Order: sequence, then structure tokens, then C-alpha cells
Amino acid sequence: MDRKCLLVIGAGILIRLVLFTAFPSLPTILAQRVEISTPVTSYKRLQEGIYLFTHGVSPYDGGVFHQAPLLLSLFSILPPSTIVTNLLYVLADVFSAISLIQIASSGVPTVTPHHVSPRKANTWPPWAIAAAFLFNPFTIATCIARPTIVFTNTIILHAVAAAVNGRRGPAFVSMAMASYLSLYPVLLLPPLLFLTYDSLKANSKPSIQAFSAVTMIILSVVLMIYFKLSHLITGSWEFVASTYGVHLLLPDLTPNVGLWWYFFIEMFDSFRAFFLCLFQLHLLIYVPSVCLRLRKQPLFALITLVGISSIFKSYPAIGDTGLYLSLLMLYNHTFPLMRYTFFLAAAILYATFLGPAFYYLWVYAGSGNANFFYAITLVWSIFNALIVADAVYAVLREEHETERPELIGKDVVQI
Amino acid sequence: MEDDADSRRRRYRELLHNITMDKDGASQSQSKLDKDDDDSILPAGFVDQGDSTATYNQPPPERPETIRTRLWVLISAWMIAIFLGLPLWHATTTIYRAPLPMQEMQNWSEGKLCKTEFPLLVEVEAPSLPDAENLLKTVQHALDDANDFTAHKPHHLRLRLAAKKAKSEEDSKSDKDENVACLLRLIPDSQNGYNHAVQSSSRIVDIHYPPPSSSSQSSVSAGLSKFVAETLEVLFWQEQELIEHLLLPQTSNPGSLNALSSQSADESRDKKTPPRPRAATADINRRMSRVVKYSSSYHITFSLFTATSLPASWDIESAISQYLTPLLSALSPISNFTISTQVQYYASISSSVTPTYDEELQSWTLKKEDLSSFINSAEWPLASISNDPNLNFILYIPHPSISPLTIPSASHSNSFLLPQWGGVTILNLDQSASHLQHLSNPTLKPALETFATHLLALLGAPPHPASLPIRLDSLVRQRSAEVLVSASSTLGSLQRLVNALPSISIPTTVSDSVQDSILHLSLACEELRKGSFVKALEMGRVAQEEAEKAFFERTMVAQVYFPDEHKLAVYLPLLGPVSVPLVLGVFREVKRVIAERKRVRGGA
Repeated sequence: MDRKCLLVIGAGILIRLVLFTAFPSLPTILAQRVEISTPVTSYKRLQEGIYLFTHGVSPYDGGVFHQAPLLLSLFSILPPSTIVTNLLYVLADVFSAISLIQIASSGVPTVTPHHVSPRKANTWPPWAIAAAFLFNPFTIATCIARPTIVFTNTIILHAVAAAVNGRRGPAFVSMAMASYLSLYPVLLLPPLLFLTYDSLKANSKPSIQAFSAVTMIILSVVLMIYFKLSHLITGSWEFVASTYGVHLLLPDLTPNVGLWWYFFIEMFDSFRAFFLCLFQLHLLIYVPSVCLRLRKQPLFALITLVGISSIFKSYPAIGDTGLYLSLLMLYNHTFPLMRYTFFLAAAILYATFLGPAFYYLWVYAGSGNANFFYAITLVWSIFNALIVADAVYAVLREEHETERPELIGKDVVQI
Repeated sequence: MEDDADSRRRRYRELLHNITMDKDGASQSQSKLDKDDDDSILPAGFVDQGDSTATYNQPPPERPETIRTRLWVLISAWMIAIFLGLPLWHATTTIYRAPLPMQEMQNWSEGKLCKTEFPLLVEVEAPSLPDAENLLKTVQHALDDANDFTAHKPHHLRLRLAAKKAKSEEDSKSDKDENVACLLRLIPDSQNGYNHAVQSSSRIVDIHYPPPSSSSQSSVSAGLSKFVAETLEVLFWQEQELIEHLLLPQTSNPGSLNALSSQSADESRDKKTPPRPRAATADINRRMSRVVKYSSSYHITFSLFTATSLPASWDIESAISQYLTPLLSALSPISNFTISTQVQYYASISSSVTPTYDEELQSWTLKKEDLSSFINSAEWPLASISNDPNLNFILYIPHPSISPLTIPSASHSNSFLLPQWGGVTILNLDQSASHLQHLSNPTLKPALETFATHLLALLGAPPHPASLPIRLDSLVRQRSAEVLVSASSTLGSLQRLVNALPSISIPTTVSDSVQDSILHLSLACEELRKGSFVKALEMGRVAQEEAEKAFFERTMVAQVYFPDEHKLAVYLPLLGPVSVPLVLGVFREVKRVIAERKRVRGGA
């Protein structure tokens, strides 16, 4: 880590602290935005849960709190002061930035055992990638609003950082924690497995089967420990239904930037169960395909799955998109191969500004209806999906060019 | 070897170059741009050989590993779709149909399972008759003969000589044995010959007969027995007719037992020369159309509507407790009642109703057709406040300018009954000031008595005989027949519905309710046979409630309007686009495999 990195981290901390102190009402305002806080991450609901928990009532009574019990114990250990909480969130972002710097400096985005990017000289320095994370407005807004997704993101990044360095234990303990906190990171386990395996030292490599078997054992032991701890903390297994059940069954139809809420408001009751299964399977169906197709670059497979789940998961927020965009910066050397960069950037800005405006028209002004906001979340999701698709195109194009150097600069047409 | 690879590479390059050239200028310049950008990072060994003249139309063959990857991607997607998607689809969309006892439900609705019968026990008290036993036997014979003749009449009268201890009137009054339908007292009376008198407040019927002359003991006994039998029929004919009428619609198919019995009953009725007035079916229909739907509790609203500000108050509470509460407590085995009262000032009758002045009667009269629109439902606050069926009784005091207001009716009570809704009494007050401020208890008495009559009529009590207990007993029997019929026909409707619509789901609650209903139906049937009608009514009520709960299950009817074609519209918009790449992928792979086979065969 050089001086520039430290400078960028310092600036990131400064921005956050200034926003926290100069605008004391900003955290509360942002925490109420549906784009940032979802029923499964909201800081307000977390406070409710902590209050119930510290007063000896089951935090899951009343159906407001849907977050993991270990978060409760973390926050009930902390002194109940806003400054400490804010510092914790800033610290989480700093750790994320450090993890990104580690990933970038490991060189895995450009060089894997199966693939060496011809553009590896063109990548941005690690500090630029940290800056892209720390100064990303989505990340900053998410940090200020303090949803618990911040911790999930930090842990995912930490797991990836450990994986690119071939440290299996920390990687899988962290990813298990991320899955425990918000369920969907479970989809990232297969690419993480490939990533860790590829990053092992070549001389001491076990076979992939043995490696994954041991990893599965580690993973299940760690998950069992987490669940047992949660059981000890809350005294019942109620939390399973109130956290993962909510992710899976979508009982809370509060609007968010995702595609689920409107669909399930409109859905016929008798088909609700079927379409819930369908939507969850839809997420799952990408995992093997993406892992197989991007086997040469498992880090990119992981990033692509982060992007896909940030679009199609049940309670997405802009914090998920922030994580995806920051991770995508690791593949900046393929950006010249992307086809719609300007168009996509413009569309994301369009959705970002119009989303809150349409939400205001619908909920506060009353001059619009739910379709306004839903339309803008559709636009948002479509363009996020296009970003994912375009990035995958760029990376595959690069792989293709490495295989067939004579085709550089030629158009590719799908047959 | 080296040469071969080199020439192949050159060919591909040319081919792709040609493709690029064919495209429009924009894409060309774009590709140029890309080329310029990437020139610096070209692999070391790469030399662009520029254009060459040879053209080929074969794309480069794919590497086997690329093909393998694509195949695996396709297989993995299809695996998830088939091994996870299909079972989940099946599990979440199959319609759950709890098993229902269909045959039993059908049997109930056709009246096969329960032969509704009402055994009535009649006690006879004949202190002055020496061979009372003998007399009873004769009467019983006569009744049984009539019963045999009319096949399966639901009523079955059985006579019994009263025990000695029940001799005195007080004893028999306090006798709690509910099974006794009525008590006949045979009293010798030399003056009036044969006649019978019904007491209005007990089940006792006095039968007067001329005292036997010592000469012809047997003829007296014969005459007496004939008269007793006739009396009993007079007492119960109305109820009997009504219950037969109730049981009639239960039979949906003419071959079933009840239909036969009622047919034969009709025939026998025709054959007999009626010694007493027979109610026409129309009369029964008329009476039944007034009756409110049976419920275990009713809400009664007493309203005082006055066209001016006077009278300001009424003594309704004490009047109700004095004149009505006894009746309500007598009705309590059948239904419970809650009561509310209200006073409304300046309440005008509907504008469409205009009374006319009748010179002859010296009063304003309402036309008969006005009565149906008399209630000013737009302005009078008569909406029900409870979940129970509401009965309204309205005491209307007309404006002094149209007072006295009368209605054209045979009775002088100046009141009328609104079928299934309530009753209205018009009270014309003297214009002397004494009454006006306050309606006292005695003033209300006639009105409340009218209301009591209305209430009995609305609940369906038969107008005959005069004895209230006998009428109430009759009402209990009638109501139990009604709930039995209603519950079994509801079960039958449910059974037909379930058969007719295979797409509706049947939740477990429905099958539970049906089971419960059938259980209570058979219990009620058993109680009827034993003669304890109040219990039978209770059971029948539960059966009816459960049957209706099953029939009106919300989740069941929600699916009715969702035909199979609509499911396509639900599935396709999402599943269609998602499955296109999967299906096309399979298509392309199959095509590739076939082409390869052909090539291999052609090569060989």
C-alpha cells in the first residue's frame, strides 16, 4: 500500500465524517429512502430489533426486524452512541477499500493460471480502484444511511481478497458470514471456490475434488457455528424464518429498486408460491452457467454473479449496485472493449435522478402512482443488466482475442 | 504442418476482413478505432498480414473445448430447470383437493339417510272415565290406521295415559318433560256435547263430552274416541302440512323415498273428505314467505318515529319487560334476542306515499299499495348495527294534519307486517295535550301486543292452535325440519359444485366442516327420533352453520373464475422469453451434432 492509497482512504474517511457531522439529519433522511434501506437491511428496523432484544423481548416479534442475530449482539455490545456507530460504518468502508486494494495489487484480474490478459499493462493502479469505491456516490449514500448491507459488502470483499491470495480459511469463513447475514452471497461460493483453487501455489495443489470436499466441510462447520451462536443469542430458532424466510418468501412488499415487489403485489394468490420459486431459481440458474463459461477468470465470474444478484434478488438496494460497480473497476482494462459505456453511464444517471423524483411524485405529492416508480426501477434494472452483459461481452471478447490473436479488431457476429 | 496452420490462419483473417468490409462505414470506422487503440498491446508474435485475394466462405471450426463448455452450460441450465423447476412447479400449482365424503353428501341431499319423523307424545287424563285404557287403544288404532294409510307421514302421534301424580293442573304445568306435546283432559259435560277448548298459556286441551248414559257405554266410548282423534288432527294439521311442505323441496329426484311419501300424502289428502279446513299450498307459501331466515340470534330494533317533535319520550323499556320479555324467554330455546330502541323526530313518510281523506271514516287512509313503500329507508336510520338478522318494529305517529291515519285492513290494530323485515304500527294520538309529551306504558300496550303477534309470524310460528306452548313446540319442530333440509341441501350443492368444477381447490377446512356437518345431521336425526326437538334443533343448527361455512369457503371460490386457458397467460410472459435461449441452445447443439455426423459419413 503506497502513499496514494493512504491518501485516498484518508479522503474517503474525511468525506464520510464531514457528511455525518455537517449534516446531522442526513443519516435519518437517507435511512428512510427505499432505494437505500430495504426491510432486510434497514438501520431503523435494526434499532427496533436491538431495543426489543435488550429489553428481553424476542426481536422477531412484531415482524419488523429481519436481520441476523449476530448483528444484534454486535450492536448491543457497542456503546449506544451515534458517533461510535457512524465510525463503525466508516471503518467497514475503509476495510472494503483495503480489500479492493489487495485484490487489485494481487494481479488476479489480469493474470490467472488459464488466462493472461494482453492488456495487463493498461490496468488502473490500486489507489484508483479504491477511489472508485470510496467516492462512488452509491457507496457513500449507503454508508451514510447505515443499512447493514455495508457489513455484508465488506465481508464479501474481504473474502475475495483472502481468496485471491490463496488463503482458503479466511475466504470461506468470511463468505459463510456474508451468506449468514444476507443469504444471497451463498451464490458466490462456487466461483469463490474456483478463485481460491486457482490462486493456490502451483507446487502444492490438491485435486479440485478433494479441495472442494474439504472446503464444503469447513463451510458447513462454520455455518453450523454461526447458527448455533445465533440460537444461543436469541434462545430460539425463530430467526431462521424471520431472516431467510423473508428473503425467500417476500412477505414485506415495501417498494425497492428491485423487480419483485410490484410483481408480487399484482400476482394472483394461487400463483404466488410458484413465481417465488421461479424467481429464486432464476437467480440460481446463472451460477453454474457463469462459473463454467468464465472458468478461466473465476474472479470475473464472481463479480458477474454479484451483479446478477444485485438485480434479481428479492430486496436489492443501491448498495448492491455500488459493490458490483466497484468490483467491476478491477476489470477496467476491458472497458475499451465494452460497446455502450457512454449510453449505459447516461442511463444509470437518468435512473438515479428520476427514481427519487418519481417516488416523491407517487408517495408524497400523490400526483403519480406506483407505476411511475416501478417504471424507473425497470429502467434501472435493465441498464444494470446491460452493464453486466456488456462487461461479460468485453471479458469474453478479450479471452477470444487471446486465443485468436489474428481476430483483434474484427467484429464478432453471433451465429 | 506449420504451413498448414499458417495458411488456415490467413484464410480466416481474410474472411473476417471481408465481413467487416461489407458492413456500413460506421462500424468500419469503429473497428478501425478499436484497432488503433489496441495496436500497442498486440501480442508479440502477432503480425497483421493485411489483405489477400483469396476468399473463403467457411467460418473457422470451433475448438472442442469451447463446444464442451457450451454443452455443459446448456446441460447445467436444463438440469436446474428439470430437476428443481419442474418439481417446484408441480408442488406449488397442483390444486389441493381434500377428500370429501361425496356419496354420503349426496345421500343426505336426497334424504336417503334420515327419515325425518316427529314422534309426538300425547298424554290423556280421564279421571272420570272408567275404561280409559280401552279408549286410548281405540284412538291410537284410529290414528295409526290414518298414519298407515298416508304412508310415511312425518308426524307420529302416540297416546299415553297420564300418570296419577300429574293430575292437577299445576303439576302438569310444572312438568318439565318436554316430550309431552300436549295433555288432553277428558271432562264430562252434559250441556254442550262434544267440543274442545285450548288453553292459551299451557299445553292442556280440555275435551268436553256428554256424560255417558248408563245404557250404551260402548257407543259413548266410540264417539269419544272418534272425537279425540279428530281433535288431535285439528291441533296438529297445520304444523303437519307445513313440515310436509318443508320436506318437499328436499327431494331433487322423484324416485327417492320422501318424494314418494309426499305424493302418497297428497293422494290421501285428496281422497279424504276433509272434516276441517285444509290450508292450500298457496297459504303455506304465503306464510313461509314472511318468515325470516332462521338464525340462532336476532336483533330487534324498536323505533318510535314521530312526524313532529312530540311525543318526546316513551316508556319502551318497562313496556318491553312487561309485555314482550315473557314471550322472548319462551322463545329462548329457539333463538336469542337482543333489543335496541330509538326515537326519531320529524320523521316524514316517503314522499311517494300520500294519504287520502276518507269522508266516510273521517280519517286519512293509506292505499294498500302504499304500504310497501311506507318505510322511508332513505331517511330513517334503520341500518342494522349487529351481525345478526335484524327485525324492525316501528311505531309511527303521523303529523296532526293527517291524523287520524288509518290503513285499510280487516283488523282494527292499524298495523301491518313487512315480510322478513318487521312490523309497523300507526298510532294516532288524541290531540289533547296530556299524552303528547310522553308515551306511557299503558299506551304502548296494544302496540307491543301487535308487535308480539308480528314477531311470532315473522319467526314462523303457526297461527293455530291458540295455545302458545303448543305453537312454540310446533315452531321448534318446524325450524328443525328447516335446518335439516337446508343443511342437507347445502351439502348436496357443495357436492354438485365439487363434481362440476374439477379446477377448484378444496382446503382441509372444508372437508372438516363437511364431516362436522354430517355428524351433526345424524345426531339431529337421532334426537328427532327420540322426540327431543330442542336438542335436534341445536344439532341441526350446527350442521347448517358448518355446511354453509364449507360452501362459502373463500379460497375455494377464488379459483372458480380461473380457467386453464388463463394459466397460459400467467406463465407465458415470463417463462416464454426465459426459455427461448434454452430451447434454441438445444436446437443448435442438435443441429451441430447432425451436421458433424453427416460430415463424418461424407468424409468416410
